[in-house]
Amino acid sequence: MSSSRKEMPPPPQEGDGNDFHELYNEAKLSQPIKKIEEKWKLVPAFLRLRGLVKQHIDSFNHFLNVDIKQVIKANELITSEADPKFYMKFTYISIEKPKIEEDCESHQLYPNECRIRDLTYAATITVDLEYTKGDRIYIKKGVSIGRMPMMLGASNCWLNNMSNDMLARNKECPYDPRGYFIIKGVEKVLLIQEQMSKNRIIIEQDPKKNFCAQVTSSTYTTKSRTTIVHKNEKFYLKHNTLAEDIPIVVAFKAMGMQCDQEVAQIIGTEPMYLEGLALSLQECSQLNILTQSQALEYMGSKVKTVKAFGPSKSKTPSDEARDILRNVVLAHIPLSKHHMPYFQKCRYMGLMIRRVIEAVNDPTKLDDKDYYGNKRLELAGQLISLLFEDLFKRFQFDLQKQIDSALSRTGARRDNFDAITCIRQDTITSGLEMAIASGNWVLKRFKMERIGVTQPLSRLSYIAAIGMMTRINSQFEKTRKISGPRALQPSHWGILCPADTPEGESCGLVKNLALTTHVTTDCPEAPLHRICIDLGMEDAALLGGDELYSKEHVLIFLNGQPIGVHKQPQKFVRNFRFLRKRGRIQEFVSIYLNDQQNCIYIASDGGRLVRPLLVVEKGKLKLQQRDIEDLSLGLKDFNDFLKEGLIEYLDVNEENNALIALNEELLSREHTTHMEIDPFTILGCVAGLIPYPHHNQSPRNTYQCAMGKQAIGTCGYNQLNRVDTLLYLMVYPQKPLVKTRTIEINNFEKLPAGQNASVAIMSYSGYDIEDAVILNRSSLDRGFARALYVRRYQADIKRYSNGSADVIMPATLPKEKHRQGMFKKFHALDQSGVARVGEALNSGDIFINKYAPVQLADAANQTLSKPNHQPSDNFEYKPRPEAYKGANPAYVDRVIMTSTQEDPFLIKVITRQTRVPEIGDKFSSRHGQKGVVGLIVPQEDMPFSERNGWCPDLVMNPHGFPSRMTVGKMIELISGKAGVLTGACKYGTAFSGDPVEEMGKLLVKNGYSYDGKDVLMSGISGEILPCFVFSGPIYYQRLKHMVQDKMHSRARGPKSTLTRQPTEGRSRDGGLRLGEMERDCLIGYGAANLLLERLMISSDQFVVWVCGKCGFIGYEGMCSYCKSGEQVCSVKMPYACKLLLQELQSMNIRTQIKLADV
Amino acid sequence: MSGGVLGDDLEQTGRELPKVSYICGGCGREQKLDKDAVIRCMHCSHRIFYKRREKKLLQYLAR
Ligand SMILES: [Zn+2]
Repeated sequence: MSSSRKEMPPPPQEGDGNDFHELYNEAKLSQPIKKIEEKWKLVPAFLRLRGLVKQHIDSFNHFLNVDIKQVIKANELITSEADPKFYMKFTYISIEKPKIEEDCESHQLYPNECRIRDLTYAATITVDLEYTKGDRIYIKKGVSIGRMPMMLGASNCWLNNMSNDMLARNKECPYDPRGYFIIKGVEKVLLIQEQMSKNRIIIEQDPKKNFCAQVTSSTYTTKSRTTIVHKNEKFYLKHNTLAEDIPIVVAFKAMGMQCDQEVAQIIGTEPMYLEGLALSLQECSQLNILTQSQALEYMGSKVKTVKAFGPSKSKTPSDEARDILRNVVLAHIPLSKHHMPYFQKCRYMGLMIRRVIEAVNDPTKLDDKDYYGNKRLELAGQLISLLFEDLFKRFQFDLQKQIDSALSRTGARRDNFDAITCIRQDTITSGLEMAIASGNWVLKRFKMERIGVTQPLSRLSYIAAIGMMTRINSQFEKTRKISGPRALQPSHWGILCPADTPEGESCGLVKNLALTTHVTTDCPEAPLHRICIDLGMEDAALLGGDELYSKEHVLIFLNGQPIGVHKQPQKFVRNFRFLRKRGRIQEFVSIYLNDQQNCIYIASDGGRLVRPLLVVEKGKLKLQQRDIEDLSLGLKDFNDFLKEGLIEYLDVNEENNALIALNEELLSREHTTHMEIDPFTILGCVAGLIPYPHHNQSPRNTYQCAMGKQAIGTCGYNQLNRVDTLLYLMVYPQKPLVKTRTIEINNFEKLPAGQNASVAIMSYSGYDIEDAVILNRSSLDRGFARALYVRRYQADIKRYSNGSADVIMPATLPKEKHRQGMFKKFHALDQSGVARVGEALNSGDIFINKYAPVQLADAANQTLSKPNHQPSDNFEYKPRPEAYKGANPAYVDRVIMTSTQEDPFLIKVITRQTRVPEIGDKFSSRHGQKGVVGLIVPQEDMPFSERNGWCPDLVMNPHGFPSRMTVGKMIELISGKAGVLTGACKYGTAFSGDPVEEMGKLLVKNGYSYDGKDVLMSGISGEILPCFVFSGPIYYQRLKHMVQDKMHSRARGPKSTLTRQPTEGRSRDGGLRLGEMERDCLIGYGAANLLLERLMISSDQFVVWVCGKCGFIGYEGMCSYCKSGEQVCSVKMPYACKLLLQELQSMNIRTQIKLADV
Repeated sequence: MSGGVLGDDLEQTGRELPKVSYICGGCGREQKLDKDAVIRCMHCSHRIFYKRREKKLLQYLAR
């Protein structure tokens, strides 16, 4: 494939005039189709247009500019029960750009200020109102109703369309993915949520193996699930408002169908369907339900009795049934205004029954729930929209209540009442802020209760941040052992990354988007419906069941609703796609013909996954070489190709109608409709970092995806201005010698995380067993893998309600001056009581010398009696300092003073540590090959090449290869070596990349062995090593796990107060637990005294006095139960045991200890 | 650390402290911040201040 890379680019074609010659030039005909050089350039062009995290930003923009207006429109009116004349109407809503008002002056709010000052990056929501005051109608514009957290990079964000220069001035990184929120200074991402698609029929088997058709209806107002079950050869309607399953024919009758014939016709009169329905029809007549009112009554009796609240008490059962049928069952199907309001619902139900009957007769027709065409992704825009609507309703409810109470008053106060004064902003502001900050999406209206929707954006490295933005969470329970949803599906091809998924419990449930995947947003249906009619569709409203399901034409669905039929499906689909190519229909609208179901499905809903593909016509690409040249020259962009129809977006369903060639060789096949832009796009942006991933065993790529996110590197151009709690930065990062196209595209080269280490793959010293690596001390001195560990501490000055406040004091404390030992820990402080910038902090050193007031007992009484009395004398101050803890010193990097809206005084101290690798630190290559440093060897003792003085930075044991099968790593070494020798970076792009053969040739050309092996000398003995050593550069990542943060030991130390046992965990200087399994070993061995020593004497030994008569625990030789001390003995037992006995006693359980001589 | 300090001591010592100067994050001008002062630049009303690096000689152990 890549041998063609060396070919000269083909001369530009001279247009259509050449066709004649081509036809008669036989040599040309038999030639294989020319490859288009550098067509991968389309991928960066696509990403320039859509961005790596464009799905988030697109979705939020859609909410800001379209969805929010619809929310307002759906809830525009407020009326009052107190005054029928009163109304308030929300006519317009808009969102400003983020600003903040402090001390009556407002200024533009930029993200960096929010990060430093712990503010929320939010913009004011303003509405235009029309309302009555007295007898007049007032119109008020630009009334603020709250603040909307703003997604970075959204249309209302300051960073949108900002030049790199301006970004730098605002301390932003131009390569930052954006698409997250900043809530109280914390960057929060709304993870993409995967869900089953709404408003579509899914045929499946319920747990009892009954066939059923399920529809989750979702509209602006309701969300409900309707199921039709096939049970005992009969059909039932199942819904969670109904206590019992309703026979389907009863439901039909309740919806106004008069006779059995009507029912049969709406489902279909072919024998298969009639037979399937027969028993259901019979059941209805057995129940003796003949009329609509009878049916409604029957249904009403089965309605679940909801704990009644509000005025709905007076409803009769049949009214309730009618209500459910109207508003809840199949809520997404509208009622028609004509004589049969339920006609569309009946037809839809008929369709569901039809599908179930088909599935019963042929189980292959069951839908696959894991098929990705049946999934929709919920993004930030949709989630915020749901939340905003809920909050807006609550806001209106509160407003209405206030207005009601104001209007129910009498007199002038009522007449002068201005409803605007009732508007409270914090319902919406704090509601949105809280939900995003906590990640709890609780919407009572939709019975939605989701936790963990948001996560703080990981800033460990740039890749970690991007990886988080493309992550997809699914709603499945993690504990379930089912493999279906976890497995990689064929329909994931090109849409989801096959390698990037976590290991362990959420394996396969958390997914990542592939490089070119785009997630759609909602697109209006009405114009599409119109276009369908224009293309010759017969409207479904005019047709009955027989006509709809006739074999002569196909049924057309628009977003899951049947809208009509067409006699020439192929032609219809072709024309529709033609219009889409012409731009008359939005490019993300999909249409596909399902031959099995004899249906055409048109989808324009949001959350579908689409990806761009090259269009092929008559076995030839429409894209020409000159288009790519134009692209490189900047004359055209991706949008132009889209408009010219050279490229098309296909969603998962439409891919079923396409035959997609992988490369040019497969183009000549008949019926080929599309070609991949480049196969490497099936990987995501994290897996794209791996060179030669197609040579690795697949789990290794998955491991690397997890580890790439832990690699220490750069997190953005603004990394030294950032104030994250924890930041790992590499001191001398390098871009990889062996790169991939993805690396170039996702800017990993500009924000790298790792270094090109010279690696010798050989055994050395025995300290390299079990994947340990040997490091060269001189390399470390030169700065290899050196990292910064930047940590933020903060303190605020709280003001208390009693008038006191925290204080920060300098070190000079008169009372403690004489105690020299105490004084040392204040050495870093200056006159303000905060550490100087640049000072070294050792363990125990105080860097914010804060004191908090403690009220004295008598003063408390005073202030209680005289609340306004000047209290300041009566406080005692307790030290509440921020002290440094850590084995190695840290240096004060920055001290920031600022204020938030709540705290007038906020101090942030940022400390820095430079960390040179040490034994036990973790390293990994880009192939899932991790290892810890086993030994650091002086360069003198390292092997070296006598020819050019080459000496490894790192020695890796070759035993890491056979079982892992990471051939890609070996090829990386060879390519890297060839790259070093020729002075160029080499490509290890997936499925293409520079071939090993060529790299070998380059090595030979430069006087090296073609297989990458070298003659090395032993640094210890000076002799030639008996074997050739495979050596060259490999890109190594330093991972965040470092011994310094993990090492821990303790002899004696703190105990927990309750159990008096040693505390747990490193952070609390805890003990090392001798656990159950260790205990079992000692029991098995019979080491009773050792056990006793470990579990009691060295842990929580305690002496209790036990009464031999009653068995209770006494006190110091007395039994308080027997009132005597005759038989009381002292017994040693673990304090935890004594605690247990007493706890049992407090629960009225008597525990008795019987004493005996041993 | 045991024991607290009475308010009088704090009050007295607090009043006599020399102010520490900070650099405004907005305009870069130096400003002395009192401990009771509002955190706000007199020139540009910016509210982020950075402490100046210490002029005192600091010695480190190079590794
Ligand atoms: Zn300023």
